[in-house]
Amino acid sequence: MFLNRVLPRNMLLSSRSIATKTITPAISAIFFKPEVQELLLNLTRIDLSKVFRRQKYGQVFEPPEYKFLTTEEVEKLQKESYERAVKKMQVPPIVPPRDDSKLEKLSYDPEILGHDVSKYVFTDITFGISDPKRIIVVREPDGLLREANTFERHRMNSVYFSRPECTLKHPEMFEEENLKSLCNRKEYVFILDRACTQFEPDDGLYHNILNTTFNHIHENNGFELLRSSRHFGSLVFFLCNNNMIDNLLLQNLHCNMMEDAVWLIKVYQFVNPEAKCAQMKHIEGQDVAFVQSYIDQDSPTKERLTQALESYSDVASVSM
Amino acid sequence: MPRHLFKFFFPASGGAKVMESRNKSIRLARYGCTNRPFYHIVVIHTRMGRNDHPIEQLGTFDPSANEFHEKLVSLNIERIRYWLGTQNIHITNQVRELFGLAGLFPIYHRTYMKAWRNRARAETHIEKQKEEKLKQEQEEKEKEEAPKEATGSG
Repeated sequence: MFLNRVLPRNMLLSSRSIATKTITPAISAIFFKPEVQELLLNLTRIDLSKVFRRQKYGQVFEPPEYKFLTTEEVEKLQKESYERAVKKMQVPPIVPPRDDSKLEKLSYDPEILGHDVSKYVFTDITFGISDPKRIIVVREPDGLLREANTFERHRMNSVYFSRPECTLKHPEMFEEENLKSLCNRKEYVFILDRACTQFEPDDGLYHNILNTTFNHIHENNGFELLRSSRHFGSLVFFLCNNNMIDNLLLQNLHCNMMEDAVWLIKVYQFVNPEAKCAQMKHIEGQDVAFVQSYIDQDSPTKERLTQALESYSDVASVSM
Repeated sequence: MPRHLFKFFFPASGGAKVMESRNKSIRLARYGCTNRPFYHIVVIHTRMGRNDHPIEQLGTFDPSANEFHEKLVSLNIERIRYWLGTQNIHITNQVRELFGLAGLFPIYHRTYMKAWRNRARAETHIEKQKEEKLKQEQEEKEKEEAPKEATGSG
């Protein structure tokens, strides 16, 4: 009964039911490579009208400004706004989840067993230290002095250094049932934005929420909803990491987005250097052959993809 | 002076003028309200009153446990280290206990005493319970035997 209150049981999504790979440090390092970042940004397909759309989160809007500008000035402003959009589209970091079973034990003094019935949590509030680097330690009633786990860290950080967008208790929308109903209503961007502000990127709960959402998107082909949002990159990376890129590739082929298909397979090659098609190099102008090599060697659903590729090349040859 | 003006000129977060010749101490200043204590860990001239204007606030201590059975302590380690390096600084027992539990100091002897007393109390409590149980069992046995004897004789 005591442990039920300590652990947020309802928050813990059953990660066993979703067969996904956990993020290892090696994969995280691949994500931070500049080439991969560039590919993910290209795949996002930035649409300025979608990036700077009005998001109704309760703020007061100001009326739009109208100006008379020359063509050069308009081009300059458009360039600036594109740069702002690129900054906004930065993919949230993908880092391995913090392992709570390997907390560092700083000292163990069994002589003070029973000094108090409750734990003591000590937080270092020294000025100018970031949340993940802050020293937070816990003295247990049995005399063990250890590092704080993820949940404790989150609570202490939000008690002493609160942010308006991050609540002390995790919102109810991240509980399993509510998350499912949100996914069924296709509110993917809302879930991912909220999770991004609420959790640290190395939180296990955050990883579970992303996994369930991305799985739902993959099963229901909702890729288009995430396009030109900052989460499309993490979606692509997730799919590549779990060898599930076929649905997205199929959609790309149906929509005649050959460039995107090539970029997608390039990311796949980066993430899976041991895959059979990883040796294949992309030569400009031979996109179809490049995609074909992936389909032949690594794809789990070959027939559908080959058909789609054939129909694409037929259409392309006719239009040529 | 009205309360809001007093708070404005003498904030609880510190700012009192440091007098070099005077002794200073790191101690707890009680804030919060009736039946709900909350402490600031402050550096203050030793001869000043408990809630007088401190030189600097070094942290907080919330002695009532929260819903997760935790007592929260915050420490500004950088400033604590600075004040420990100065001369004429006295640290009170309560603060020494906290620093000991935090791993900043060796564990203070009062913590050992507290732990030992709590354990002794718990042991006596358990022994009492055991004795009571034994007594109850004996009584029950006697009760069971008594009617048997009665039936046997009848």
